[in-house]
Amino acid sequence: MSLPAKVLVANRGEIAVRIIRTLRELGIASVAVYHALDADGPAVRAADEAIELTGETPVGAYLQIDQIVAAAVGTGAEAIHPGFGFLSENPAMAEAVTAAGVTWIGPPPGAMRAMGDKLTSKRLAAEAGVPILPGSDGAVADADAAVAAAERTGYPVLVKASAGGGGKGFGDGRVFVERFVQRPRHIEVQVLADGHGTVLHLGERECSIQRRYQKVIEECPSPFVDEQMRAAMGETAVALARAVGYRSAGTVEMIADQRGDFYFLEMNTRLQVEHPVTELVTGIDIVAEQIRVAAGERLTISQADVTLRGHAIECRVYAEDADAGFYPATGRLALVRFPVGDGIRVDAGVLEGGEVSSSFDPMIAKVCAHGATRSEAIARERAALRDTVLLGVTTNTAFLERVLATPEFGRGETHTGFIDEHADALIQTPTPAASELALVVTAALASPAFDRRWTVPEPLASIGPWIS
Amino acid sequence: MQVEITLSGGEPHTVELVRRGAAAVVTVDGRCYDAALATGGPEPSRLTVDTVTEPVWTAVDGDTVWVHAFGRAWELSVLDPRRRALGGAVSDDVSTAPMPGTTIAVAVRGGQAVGAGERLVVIESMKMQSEIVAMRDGVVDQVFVDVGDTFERGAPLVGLVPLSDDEPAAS
Repeated sequence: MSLPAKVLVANRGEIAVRIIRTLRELGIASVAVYHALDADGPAVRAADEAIELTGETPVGAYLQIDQIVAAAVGTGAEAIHPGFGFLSENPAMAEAVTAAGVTWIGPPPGAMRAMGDKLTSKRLAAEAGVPILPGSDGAVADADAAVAAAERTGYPVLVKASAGGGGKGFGDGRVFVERFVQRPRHIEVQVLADGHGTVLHLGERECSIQRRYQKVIEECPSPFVDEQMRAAMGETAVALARAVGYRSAGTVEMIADQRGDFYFLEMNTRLQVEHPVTELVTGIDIVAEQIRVAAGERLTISQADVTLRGHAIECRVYAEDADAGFYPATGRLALVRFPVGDGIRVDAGVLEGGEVSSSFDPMIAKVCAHGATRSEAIARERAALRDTVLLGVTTNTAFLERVLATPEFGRGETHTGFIDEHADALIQTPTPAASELALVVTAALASPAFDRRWTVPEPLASIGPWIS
Repeated sequence: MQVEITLSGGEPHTVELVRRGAAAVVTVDGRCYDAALATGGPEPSRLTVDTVTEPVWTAVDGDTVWVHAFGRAWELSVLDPRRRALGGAVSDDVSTAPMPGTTIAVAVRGGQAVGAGERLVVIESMKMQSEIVAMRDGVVDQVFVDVGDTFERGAPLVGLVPLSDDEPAAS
């Protein structure tokens, strides 16, 4: 089988740029789709061709299945890569793409449907031998049934929406009861499957550092997982992928309790935001594997070929005020400089001069660092965050660096409540007086308030500020 | 000329500046410093204050100066006190958006009397709803947004009839 000659990327921002990079490396032409707000964005610049989408809202434009499929057909793209978010987990999109004679770079719609519903996926996981948390048997009918299920399960329990994610529900009333795990770690297994019966895993990522139920720092491998636990988690993830006839890249999310027992959370049937840390540690280009598998090729690696080398950390740089409740920030990025150096990888979705608006997700870039050891990766990631220059919009880089600097993070004592638990230690410390003076002097020298035409000739200037 | 420069969240500093070629004498809160900011093309600028040198990146947006130094970004405001006196002080008259978002509900209309803490509008941002309430007792002068409108941080949402100095704050 041969790879497609041209691929349409149905996404925007950093992930569109990242997919286009691999397409270029594989010698495949790329087509970007974009909403007018992104017309000057990095994805349009990186792609060989670009087709505009329209929608009632900017986000809505990227959800227009008909327009995107028509763009692929019109430009002669042989395949569509959906990235993550938007239409990536929509089985109807996968079906529409396939019906138009275009290859879907993703899993079969049946696997997407099975894993898209938390109740169905939990049942399938249990059947495949993945440990699941005790709780209600399917959805609960009413409050009384929920209380009864909670009493059978044993408190504390969580009541979860069957269709939801990232702390958000999606207009589906069904809820279920599940045991609540104290101080859980979020650990997930990356799987890869081809259409010829090979299913393998690329080890785990730990994504316990979250704010507002969304991941902000991820690492590979997890400091908590040893070889035995990795093998056990990997085997169950592979078994589940096999059971649902999975193909392409996917992620089985689990939570681990403090004893090291792990339980199924959900399966994400798409490329994951934090896939770079796995790529850095395994040396495998996950997007390239997705493209090959979609083209019908066999995976060229076996489980024995997958080795984890060193340690990688990813920080998600968001336009937000971490010191004021993580409120999203907007504005124009007047100056942008990303770090470079040994082991540093930056996947960015912004250009200098670009506008960060409230129309899209506020993630600006993923700054990643790879090191021989976890402590080297942390040191490199901290330096990279300090060298990430984004002026004009408030970002969370300083906050992320404070998280990495805590002794608890350094010891790998992470859990999903980490940011709340260490809130006091993560508060911005008062600026030293000498630094504040330097900043005030810099602002004075840079500001147009002191017009340069008012330059005073020597020797009068040395006398000091005699003009007011 | 004197300006007030404030590091975000800090106290204002009184600053004067006299240039002499590439360098300058900068007076901060009454103390004089020899200073220079050498711009370096693709490299960061070099700030010198007396004998200390520090690499810095800067970007200016009107009265705001953004500085990247000491491993992070800082936001400073540069205000000319004379201009501020002319422009009138920002007061409790206008409720503004604390973050970018969308208007979900408008609870008041022009001419309506409201009490301090009373709900004016409900906004949504990051899938989270929050209430914008009146900062004082007063009468609604203008509602700047309709349901469904989107806005940026700092956008005016509801204005109350301005109080004159000798008028008690009562509805």
